[in-house]
Amino acid sequence: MNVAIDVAGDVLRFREANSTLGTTQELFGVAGVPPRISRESFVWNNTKAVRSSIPKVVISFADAWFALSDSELASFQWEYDSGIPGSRIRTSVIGEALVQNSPSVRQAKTVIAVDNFLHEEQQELLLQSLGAAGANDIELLWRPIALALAFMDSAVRGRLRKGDRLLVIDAESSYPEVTCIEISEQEGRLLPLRSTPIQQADPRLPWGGHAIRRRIAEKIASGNTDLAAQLLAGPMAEQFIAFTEARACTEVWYRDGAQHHAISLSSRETREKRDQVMSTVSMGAIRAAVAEQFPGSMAAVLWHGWPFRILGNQGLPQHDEVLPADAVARGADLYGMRLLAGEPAYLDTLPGLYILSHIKEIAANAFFPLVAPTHQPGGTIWRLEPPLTRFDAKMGVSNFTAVVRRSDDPRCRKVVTPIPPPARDTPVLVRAEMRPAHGRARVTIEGQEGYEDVFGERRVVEIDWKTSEPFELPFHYAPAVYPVRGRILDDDDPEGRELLRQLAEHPEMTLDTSVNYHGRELRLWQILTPRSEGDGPTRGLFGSAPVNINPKLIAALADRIDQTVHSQNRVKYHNYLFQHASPNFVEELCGKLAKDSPSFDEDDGYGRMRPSWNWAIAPGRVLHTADQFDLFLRFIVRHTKAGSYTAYPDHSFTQHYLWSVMRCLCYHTDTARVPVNTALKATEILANYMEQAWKDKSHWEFAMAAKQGGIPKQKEKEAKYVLCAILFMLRLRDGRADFLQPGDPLCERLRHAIVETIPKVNYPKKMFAVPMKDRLNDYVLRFLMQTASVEDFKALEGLTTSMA
Amino acid sequence: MPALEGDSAYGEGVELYERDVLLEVLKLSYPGRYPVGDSDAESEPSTYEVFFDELLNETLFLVRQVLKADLPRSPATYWSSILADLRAKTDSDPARHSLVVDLAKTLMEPLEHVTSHPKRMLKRIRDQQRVQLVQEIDTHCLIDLARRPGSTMPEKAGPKQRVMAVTRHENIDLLENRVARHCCELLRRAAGRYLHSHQRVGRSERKQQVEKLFRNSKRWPSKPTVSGVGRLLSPCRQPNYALLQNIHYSRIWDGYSKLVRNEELRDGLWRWPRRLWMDRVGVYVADTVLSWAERSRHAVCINTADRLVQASHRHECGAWLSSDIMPGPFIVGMSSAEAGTLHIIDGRHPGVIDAKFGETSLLCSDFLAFLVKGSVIRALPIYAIWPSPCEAPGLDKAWWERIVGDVLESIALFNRRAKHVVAVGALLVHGSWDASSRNGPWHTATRDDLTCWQTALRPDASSWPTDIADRYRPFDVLTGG
Repeated sequence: MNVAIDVAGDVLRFREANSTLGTTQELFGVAGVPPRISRESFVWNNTKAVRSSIPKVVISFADAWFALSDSELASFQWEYDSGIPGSRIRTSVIGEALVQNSPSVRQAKTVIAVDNFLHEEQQELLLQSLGAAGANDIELLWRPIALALAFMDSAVRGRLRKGDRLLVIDAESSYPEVTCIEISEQEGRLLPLRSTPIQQADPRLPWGGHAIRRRIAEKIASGNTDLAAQLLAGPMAEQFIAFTEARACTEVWYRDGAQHHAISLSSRETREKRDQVMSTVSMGAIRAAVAEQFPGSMAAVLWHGWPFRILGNQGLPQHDEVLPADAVARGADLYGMRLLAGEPAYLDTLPGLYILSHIKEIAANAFFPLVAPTHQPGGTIWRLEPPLTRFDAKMGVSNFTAVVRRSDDPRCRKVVTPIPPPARDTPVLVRAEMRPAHGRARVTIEGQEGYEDVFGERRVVEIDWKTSEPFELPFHYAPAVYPVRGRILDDDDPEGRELLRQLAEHPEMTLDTSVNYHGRELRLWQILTPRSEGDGPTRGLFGSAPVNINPKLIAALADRIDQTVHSQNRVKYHNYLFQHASPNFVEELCGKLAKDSPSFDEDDGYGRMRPSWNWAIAPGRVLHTADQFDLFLRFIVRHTKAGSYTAYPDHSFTQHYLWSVMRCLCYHTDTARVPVNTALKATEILANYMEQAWKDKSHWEFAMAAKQGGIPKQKEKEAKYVLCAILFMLRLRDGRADFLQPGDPLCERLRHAIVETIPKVNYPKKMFAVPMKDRLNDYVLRFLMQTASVEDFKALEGLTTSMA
Repeated sequence: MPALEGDSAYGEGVELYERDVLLEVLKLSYPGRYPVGDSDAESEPSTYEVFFDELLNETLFLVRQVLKADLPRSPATYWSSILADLRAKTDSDPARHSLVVDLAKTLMEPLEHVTSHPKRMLKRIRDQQRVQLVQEIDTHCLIDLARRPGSTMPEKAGPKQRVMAVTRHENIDLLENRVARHCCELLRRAAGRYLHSHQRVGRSERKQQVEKLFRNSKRWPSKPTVSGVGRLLSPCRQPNYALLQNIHYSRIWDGYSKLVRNEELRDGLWRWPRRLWMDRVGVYVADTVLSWAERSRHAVCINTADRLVQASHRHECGAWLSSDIMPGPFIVGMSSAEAGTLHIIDGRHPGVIDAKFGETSLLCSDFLAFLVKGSVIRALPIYAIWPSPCEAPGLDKAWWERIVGDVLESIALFNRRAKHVVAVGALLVHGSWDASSRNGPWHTATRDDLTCWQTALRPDASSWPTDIADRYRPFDVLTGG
């Protein structure tokens, strides 16, 4: 038997799987009556319950539930009969309320739908509250997943396929949530896949059912807060909620002092007040805003929440669907049944959790995964196998201090756990396990075999997350993002904007047209091209940073390039538009990258078709999202023979690919979200390149350069590119702290190649804000081994000015 | 009532003087003396005592079984479920379930066994004993022997040839046997009260068991096997090893502890019968008003709240139920537009709802019913009357009239002085320990638009009539129904 619970603020929905009709029971305006004496408990299962002749303070369940999201330590206070003040943490009463309203929660497997943004600490608070109330077999399920499960269960066979995306818009969560869910497949069954949500920026979305209902109550109460509270929780709530949801309702009586007065909810005046508030909600406007946030096609857009049920899906696209009120409870019920049957229900994305350790042997710091950021079936536990064995409990030390990092948080945190001081240095095992939606990871420390008594009578010590506090690492493990800025952005260049406007308005203008630009006679293509003036930075009209400019002007420029430039310069000029390049060009580029044998041939200006480097440079300038960068890396991997490096269509392209890899990561934040496996394969190619490109040093170029006490210019440039590509590839550590960790075989290869194989190269001119004393190799090595100092990190600030 | 525990006064006279002239002597009588010890054991309990026991039993049933006030965390209980439990007839046996019924089932066997084969112990006593029979001597005996004149044993033994030695004597006057005997006495008393209160019950298994227990509890202490067992001077508080561990004595101890606790409780409550009665009248008023609301002829009659009822796990000067637990408020009226709110509250704190109600404290009533409609507040004071033991069996016409006169005069005076509240009359509920009647009849008296309704009640809620219009009349008058 299982029980499913949908907590929609003012409404509680229970669904018991073995109920004969499979119906959902709804409770409205649940409120808790505080005790008069210490032997009493809160009463939650009767909205009419009172303990006193005079109205006393009660706590509405909705307030307790929202405290979970807003302020989990907020307390509710009342006064006992004896006059002694009573106090309870609001979140701690939730379990009591649920158990009282559905006693079977104590015995049955219970699935409770929770907000997609509910933090791990808050999940733990909820579970603690339920445990204290006697409910121990609890499963928390994300509301959007419950909705997706309900939808998928009722969808026509064949409507959904693996890889489809569902957009869930929920107005009955604590705060409105919009979630994109991908359809995955396991054991031949389509399952929703939850990715780690990205927290919406404040202020919260304004169209939540909870907030709207409060606005209606306040409007009807005309400023009488007591009346508004009586409408929302207590005996009148059912009628009032029916009224807000435009269902049939009767008059309600509210208490004012010693007397009761009636309010007719069906009167014209109250209906008008409701309609005024409801008119502020527009599903069309929400849809437009959501489409901007989640671009791309969706297999279905699922709307859930009472405001949407009233408005209906009129005027919305065909694949938009307004789900019924009990959809969350139904989805949670399905989840519970599948868990009991041992069937997969949904896939969750675990956030990675890493612990820092210093490796003495190679003088490096490394993060080791406690929890790998994997996809884990909901309701199952992920365990670290094998456990970490590299830690020791030092003699006499009474605190185990761990520095940990989550994959969704670039900051580190320090956790100090008291341990019984060991009598000697003892090797310990660190185990970790995590369950989706069930709080923080459980990390334990115990003595290794033969040292089980390291902590005296305690066999295992669990890491205490409550001691967690932010911790500033004394080193840097990756560079930041350094977007190059163009003249339009840097100088807010009115002349540049004016030129673009003229170009759009005058079809006769081409890129060869001479114009006056800042007092100089230049052709348009010269203004577009990155160039340096004196000691100033090398900048084009556009940079990699996004510019606030009328897109029509850029589109006109792109059109003019396509119409008037017929040589390989066409690609070059498109590249100079960076991420503002026209969609057609991006599509053309992505099309080539997706092909097995794309042609990079372009007219060299003399009527001859030759492979153009501009196609290899284009990804570095134009591609700016993780998906696009992933496409580029997969192209590189696909066009590289095993154990070799990319030389497609010939070796002269290699350095440009290196440059593009480096620039994609250097210019854009999003590119670091590229899949790790692809990035690792690309890094392996970088290692191959370093190991092989300098093998043959008998070449005449090396001989000539050696005489002058250096290395060939071309080779030096290639070495800089590959070193910088490795340096920026480390940005993936922001999301995956265990990416290329010191001690890994690939990291060891890179370290060896940097130290032993490739020549020592100087820092690139203008690349660094401050002069560095050593070589670029040493610099990259420090980041690779995670020992780079704050000075090293700051030194990169000049990077934006070079290699454009 | 007696001011101190152990006070044996039956009554008290209060002399009222004005300028050294004696105006009146008020004779206050206390409830009958608490029956103690064997002296009262054989006497028939008075009707007052039977009524008191019935009231106590009903109260304990309400507090322990229904409200579960002796649990560490008592469940939420509403009037509807309480009244249903009080009215419920859960079995076919006409005799009531009680502690003594349980004990009749569980204690017969161990008491039979213990009184037939009481535990014995050999007691060591130093005594003069013939020399040839001496088996054991101790230090004291040796000292005594050394002090005797003579150098040989025959010389020291003297002419009677006896010396001091330790001898062993069988003894049954042990704590556990004294407890068993006291248990028999308590059982007899409890069974006697039970049988007296069930005089009119015919065939009943429970009654038969208690009758058997009653007979045996008189027989057991008179058995020759226990003739050497002494009496306890006061109830035993601290059990010994045998009382806790012996298979027979431990069962006796369990039952004995409950009996002693009940006896102590009864002893304590004997001094607070009116408070006990007031709680019962509170239950009656709640039952009445809820039944009235179900039958009301008002177009609008809504019980706006389910009132939670709570009791203490120990009484406070006779009162078990918490204050401010009466049901309601109710919305009553012939239409929504002219509906008023009916409140039932404790008479002790009438001002809790609204300061305007505070002036009704002059009425000194136990409960108050208010109807608030706009600026008009109508009140009905309700009194729990506990007549003197010597008066109650009568409750004759003169009694009713004397009460009515006093009450209506007080209310008329109140109406003249009150600024906000108008009393419509008064409801008086008397304790009725007249063995001949179950619940007394209704007496109604009207004077100057004021009405006094009176009735006498038995404590048993299942006996309260639900179909008598008189019962609901006070609320009809108050609400204008």
